[in-house]
Amino acid sequence: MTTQNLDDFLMLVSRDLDGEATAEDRATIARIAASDPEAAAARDALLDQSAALRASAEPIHPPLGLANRVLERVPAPAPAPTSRSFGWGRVAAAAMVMAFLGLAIATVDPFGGAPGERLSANPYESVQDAMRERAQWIEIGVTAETADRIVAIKREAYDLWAAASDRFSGSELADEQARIDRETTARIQATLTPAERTLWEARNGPLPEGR
Amino acid sequence: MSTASMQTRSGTREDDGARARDAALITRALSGEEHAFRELVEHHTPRVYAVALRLLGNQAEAEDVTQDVFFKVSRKLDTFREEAALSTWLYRVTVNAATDHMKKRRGDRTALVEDLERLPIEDHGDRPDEALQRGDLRARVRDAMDQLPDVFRTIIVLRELEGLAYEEIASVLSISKGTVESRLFRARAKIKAILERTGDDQEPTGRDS
Repeated sequence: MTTQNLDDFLMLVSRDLDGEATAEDRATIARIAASDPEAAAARDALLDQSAALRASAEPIHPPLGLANRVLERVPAPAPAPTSRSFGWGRVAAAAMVMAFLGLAIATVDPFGGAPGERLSANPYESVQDAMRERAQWIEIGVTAETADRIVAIKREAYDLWAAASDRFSGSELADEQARIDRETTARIQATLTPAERTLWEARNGPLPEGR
Repeated sequence: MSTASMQTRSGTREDDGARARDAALITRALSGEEHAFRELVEHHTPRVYAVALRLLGNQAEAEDVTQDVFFKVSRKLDTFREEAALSTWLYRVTVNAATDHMKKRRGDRTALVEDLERLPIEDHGDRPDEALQRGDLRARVRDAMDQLPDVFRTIIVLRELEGLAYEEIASVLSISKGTVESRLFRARAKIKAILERTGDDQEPTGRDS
């Protein structure tokens, strides 16, 4: 049997292994295997390999409390808007929230320098913008790993702000967003290594210690 | 806690009961019932984590991916279409998040899918079965899995370990059923080639006198 023919035969065996073969496919497999010992051996090896792979899959149990940790950090989905509540009032509220988010991103960033375009939309919806943000942090002097963590923290902050805007209004909303702002600032500062802090402060002055 | 909804095996469908339960929980969660979202997360976390761990092989990263997945689920839940199974959507989000981690980790070692599709399959060469019988085949197959390119490991995990049917895999990976079939075949051929190579490595170089 040529290599190409053997490949075609094993493709049928692979399909059969996955329960996707037709009766005709199975008949072809049986006929070829019966007449060609090399093909039969190749089929058996593939079956053994697949059986070993499936048998090697030990049950995986998540770490204790993982679901709770997820729930602590992931906001519940925002309630779907109803036709009654969706209107100009909501648009105006959204505009206020976006303005707040713009302010928040500028203040959350302990190093300042948030580009203006990030004030008008969630910067982490766009991979390009997230990568640009990451590059800015690397330019400041942090490692790529730290930059990734910071971008992730800020992305989470936007999610939390957005969720807060659906749950709170007025002074409650401002308080909630200020709380998220403080926590995010603290998390970003905590993610810097001592060397990164020193490097940055040498170039840019002392880091704020939170507000 | 049950993890049944994503544990579909070959040829089976997620049952209507599980789908109806998920749909009801989603509706309640979107109407502001936090308890319903909690139930969704608790129910699906074990499977999301297991898939992520099988793809990444690292517990901390699998935990990060689990967080990422539910962040996305929370943000996009209102866009979920009930005609699709929630489990399929979760698989897709999980695979995408894990793939991002793998790319980050491996940098330019991650080959493009298109390139992989064009890779020639190694010659079949000698039968591996004799070499395979010598060692612990399961352990060697696991090792071979670790050496697979990400795109092949992903499809093997979905098919062999998660038991998804071709159609579900096609939906999760946004590829055609034909591509699922050929990619699976290539992945298996790759594992076989790795087993043969490592089998050769374990061959004695000479006969003891």
